[in-house]
Amino acid sequence: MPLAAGVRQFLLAPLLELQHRAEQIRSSRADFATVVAERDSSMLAAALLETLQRENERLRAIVGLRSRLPVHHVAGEVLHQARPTGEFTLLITIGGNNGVRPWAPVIGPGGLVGHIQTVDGKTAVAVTWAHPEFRASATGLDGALAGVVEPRTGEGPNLTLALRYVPYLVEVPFGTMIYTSGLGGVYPRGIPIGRVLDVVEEQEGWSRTYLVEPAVPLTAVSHVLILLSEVPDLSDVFASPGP
Amino acid sequence: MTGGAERYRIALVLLLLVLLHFVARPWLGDSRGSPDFLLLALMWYAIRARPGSAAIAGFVVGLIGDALTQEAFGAGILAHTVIGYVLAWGKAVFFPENLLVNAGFFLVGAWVRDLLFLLADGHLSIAAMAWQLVSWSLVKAVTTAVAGIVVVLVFRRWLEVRTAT
Repeated sequence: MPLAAGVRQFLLAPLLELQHRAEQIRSSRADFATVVAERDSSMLAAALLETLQRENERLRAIVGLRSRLPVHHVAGEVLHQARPTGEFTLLITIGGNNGVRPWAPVIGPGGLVGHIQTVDGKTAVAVTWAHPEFRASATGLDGALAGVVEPRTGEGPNLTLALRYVPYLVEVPFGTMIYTSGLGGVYPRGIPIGRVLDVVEEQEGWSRTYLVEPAVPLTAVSHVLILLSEVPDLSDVFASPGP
Repeated sequence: MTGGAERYRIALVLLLLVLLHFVARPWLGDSRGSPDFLLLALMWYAIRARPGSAAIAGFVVGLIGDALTQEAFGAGILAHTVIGYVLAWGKAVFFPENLLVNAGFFLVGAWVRDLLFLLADGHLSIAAMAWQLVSWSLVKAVTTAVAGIVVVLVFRRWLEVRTAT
C-alpha cells in the first residue's frame, strides 16, 4: 500500500532506525549478535573476526541451520509491533535494497516463519504462519504423510498450528516433525514447520487433523533469514530432530 | 488547555513516550504483553486536549501503527481515533488529574483499543478474539497502565498532577 510505504520510508524512518538500534543492543546482550555482525561495519568485523565467526557458528547452531545455507540469503532483524495481531505480520529491517522480493521464504530459529508480503527499500513485511490466511503444504521427512498446515486459533492464548487433510489411514506418531513439502511453489521442501502433538479432529474414514507445535515461536524471533534464490530442497540443511 | 510552559512540558513527555516505544519496548520481553507507549502517549495527550485534537492525534498514531504492520490497514486508525476522541470527552466527566483515575483511563483505553482493533480487523473468529482480549490484551492493558502510573509519578510535580487518591 503506497500510503503505508510512504509513512514507513519518510515519517517513521528515524523512529524505526531508533528501534533498530535498540534491537541491536538487546541482541548483543543475549548473545545473538551474529546476524547483527553480518551487517556491521567492516572495521568491527576485521577487529573481531575470530569472535564473530565463533558467534556466527553458535547462532547458526541455535537456529538449527548449518553454518551456511546452500542458497543465497540475507539476514534481518524483526521489529515487533504493539498490536493485538502483531504476530500475523513481521516488520523486517531489510528490503529491496538487499535483494528481498515478495514471496521470498522467511526462516527463523528452527524452521519456517512465513514469506515476504511487501517490500520497500529498507524494510519488508512478512506474513507469518500465524496469519489466518497462511497455508503450507506439509509432509514428513520420509514423505509418507501429506497435509495442509494452517494456523489454529480460538483454542487458547497461544497460537498453534493444525495439520489438516491427513488421510485417515496414515497415522502420524505424536512427536513427528513435519516439513514443507515443496508443493505450491512458495516454500522449498524440507523446512521444519512444527511437531505433531495430538489429534484434534477426525472425520471417520476420511481424514484426521493434528495439533502441531510450531517450530518457530514468533514472539521469540529476533532475527530471520530470507532466501533470495530458488532451491528445490532444504532437507539436508536442517538437522533432523525426529520423533 | 494549558499554559505555554506546560505545553512544552507535555510535549516533552509525549516525545519521551514516543522514543520509549521504539527504544525501550525491545527490552521489555514478549511484545504481546509489553506496554504500548504510543498508545500511552495518545491517552496522555487526549485527557489534556479537546476531542477534535485528540481524535486527530489518534488518527496519526493509528496510521503509524497500521503502516508498520499492514495487517488490516485502517483498523488501527479507526481504533485510535475513537480512543482519542472518547478519552478527551471523558475528561469532562471524570477527573484525569488523579492517579487512580489516570490508571483507570490507561487500563480501559488500552483494552478497548484492542477490542476496537480486533472488531475492525475482522480476521479472528469470535473465540480467538475472546482469548486475545482476556489474555494478552489484558496483560498489555495492565502493563500500559503501570507504565502510565510511573510516568505520572515521575512527572507529577513538573506537570502539577495530583496523585492523591
